[in-house]
Amino acid sequence: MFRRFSASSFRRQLTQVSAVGILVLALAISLVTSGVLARRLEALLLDYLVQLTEQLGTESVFAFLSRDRDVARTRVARIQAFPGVCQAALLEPNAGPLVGPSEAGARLLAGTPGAWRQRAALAGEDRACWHFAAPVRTHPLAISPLEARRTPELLGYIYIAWEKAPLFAVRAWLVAVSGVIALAMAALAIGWLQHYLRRLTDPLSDLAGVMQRMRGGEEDVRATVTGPVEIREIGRAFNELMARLERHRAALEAAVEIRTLELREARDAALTAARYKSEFMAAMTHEMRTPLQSIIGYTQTGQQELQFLENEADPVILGSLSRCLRIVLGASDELLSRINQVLDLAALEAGRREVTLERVDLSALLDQVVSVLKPLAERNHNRVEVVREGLPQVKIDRDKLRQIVRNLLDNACKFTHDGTVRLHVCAGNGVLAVEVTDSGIGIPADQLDLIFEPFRQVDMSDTRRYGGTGLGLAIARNVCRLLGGTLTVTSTLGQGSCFRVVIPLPVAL
Amino acid sequence: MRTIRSWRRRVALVLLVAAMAGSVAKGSSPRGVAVLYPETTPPYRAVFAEILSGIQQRLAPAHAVRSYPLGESPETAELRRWLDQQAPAVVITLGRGPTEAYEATGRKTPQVIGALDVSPQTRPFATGVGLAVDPGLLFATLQLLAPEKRRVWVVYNPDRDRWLVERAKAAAAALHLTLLPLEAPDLRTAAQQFLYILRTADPETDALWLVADSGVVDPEAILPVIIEQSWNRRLWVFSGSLLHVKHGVLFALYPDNNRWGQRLAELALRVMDDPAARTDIELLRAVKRALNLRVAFHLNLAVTTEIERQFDLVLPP
Repeated sequence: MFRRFSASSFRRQLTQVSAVGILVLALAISLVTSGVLARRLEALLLDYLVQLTEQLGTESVFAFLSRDRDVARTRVARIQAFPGVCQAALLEPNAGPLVGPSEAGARLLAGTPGAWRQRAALAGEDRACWHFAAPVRTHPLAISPLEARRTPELLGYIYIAWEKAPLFAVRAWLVAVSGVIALAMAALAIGWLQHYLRRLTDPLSDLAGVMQRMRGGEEDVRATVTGPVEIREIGRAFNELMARLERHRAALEAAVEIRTLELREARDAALTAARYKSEFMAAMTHEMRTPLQSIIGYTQTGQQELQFLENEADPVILGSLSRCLRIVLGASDELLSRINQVLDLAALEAGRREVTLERVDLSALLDQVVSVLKPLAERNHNRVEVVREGLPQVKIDRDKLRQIVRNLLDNACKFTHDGTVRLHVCAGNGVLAVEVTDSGIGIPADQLDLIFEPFRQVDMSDTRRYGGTGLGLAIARNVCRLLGGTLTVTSTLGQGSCFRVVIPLPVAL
Repeated sequence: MRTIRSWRRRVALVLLVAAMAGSVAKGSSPRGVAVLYPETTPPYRAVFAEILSGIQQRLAPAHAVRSYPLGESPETAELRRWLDQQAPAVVITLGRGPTEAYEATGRKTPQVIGALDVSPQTRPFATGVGLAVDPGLLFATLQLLAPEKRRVWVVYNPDRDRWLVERAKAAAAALHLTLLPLEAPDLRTAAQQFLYILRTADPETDALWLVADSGVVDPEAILPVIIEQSWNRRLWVFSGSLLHVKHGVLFALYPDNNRWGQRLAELALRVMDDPAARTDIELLRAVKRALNLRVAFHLNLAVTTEIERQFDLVLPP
């Protein structure tokens, strides 16, 4: 309840608190006023009843004087017919009954001595009635100066019980009327207060609405500066703040636009540079490969011609020439391989690689790759283990899978000496997983992401121990992505690395 | 308020004339008349002013008239000094207070009592005029209005008004009326006697006479009952008090205050001339007549213009 009240609007809280206060105040004033009025009324009524009792006593003198029962009864009947009289009696001077209920005298005697023996007074009261009594004397009034002096004589007492019900009714009426008036006045006051609070808080609500619109994203909002001075100050401050914000935003947007233009230009320049680089690399490697192909071709031709001269020339010279040509051929193959790698990378970056799916016998492909890399493994005294599980064939781009496996095995054999390189291939359950694990030098944790960048190797010093272009892993990752797969690596420095390729099957084109 | 001022002026004028007359008389004759009257409130103030005026009319300028107002508790020694200083031949005391005050001085100057309900029985050797109206005048008025009435009831205090009843019997007999007097030595008996009369009187032939004695006809206790019962039974009631007429009695003879004063002055002169020749308290014959028309109409009394002329005061219905 209190939480709901606390969460309500400022005007509602103010109205509710004020309304409750006004209602409580009005009811309190009503109760106090009616109480005071009722007491005053009761006092006036008692005074009036005292006078009335005295007057009725004076008028009853004849009944006492005559000692006539009929006259006395008639007198009592007349008194009892008086509005508000519930009981009346005429009492002897000893308070015994002359006419009327006998208990009246007993009731009065129970209260003796009382002021009623000297003058009209309230002799007692109960829940329903006031019991008044007054002495009845002869010649109660002032004697005229024309008459002889006479001594008043006590004839008896008059007893009258007056009902309290009329007072109770008037009291209830007073409470009801004052309550109604108080509620009506409270309603008027609350209505006026609500009207005034609305005038007072409407500017605040408008301000809150403006702020709400601003929070909702609306721009260029301004508060109406109206209402009490404090709220006008808030409105002015808000408008000023909004103006400042808009100026700042305009400046910021201008700066962002300028920076965006700069970044766009930089990006375009970078893209252009990359394109130029790829085009340059493609062009350069293409231009290099053409003479290299000639070198390889002529070197192979030279080897074939040396075979024809095997019987004619000096075997020592022939052996020397043949070894030289073999070296040239080997270097040319190596050079061609690197040029091809550069070409592949350039083609990949240029997005010009196409995927050709076909049924590939995994065992044959793996044997072929392992046989190609066998010399490198043997040179580093590594042992190559091949494990294949799952489906024997998968539908995939043969060249690209071979390129991936070859690059990973080449990388593992290159950075492993006197160790083990393990190739684990598993096909099935919608994926083709290739895992190459070595016991080589490992990769520092901070370089795990760098090794996939082109031309990056773990050892980038001037005296690199390991050869290669540094493109193998970059090409492998790009090819994996081309096939919709991923290439991840885990490694422990000094203990080895594990490269894992996961390609979803079938390959999505 | 206007009436009060008027009466104040009249009292002041009377006192001024009395003082002037006194000063003149003092030079010619030392035998003046002192008048002691009460300093009271309306309506009694006007009554005493008129009586004083009557006294003055009758005595001045031949005799000096000295008046002395007395308050509620007059100083006896001061009054005695004043009387010694004035040395009046006769003292007229008006009302209860001055009469008692003068008697308290113990002076032997001849006294004439007025404006007090005295009777020869209560003051056997006093001279003056009491409140009791001459019953002959009352009965004559009754016969003027209702010749068919034959009996007149009256309740009286035998200790005070037996003399009055004796004279009333004679007056009634002279007018062929029968007086039915009932004694009431106290108020209780008076109430019982009135109750008896109101229950047994024959409205056709009887009438009730109320004496001007509040010890018998208590204006608060008894008079309202008499008025109510007589109204219900259409019983004729007449009185010697103007107050009774105002309350609902058919007619009354009430004091003509000026003439009352003149009569007191005449008695004073008589005493002055012969202090030994004292008279008893006289019946009041200086009276006016008052008629309550409302009661008259209720009693089916045909009040003609001629009858109305016989009355000094006719209360409208």
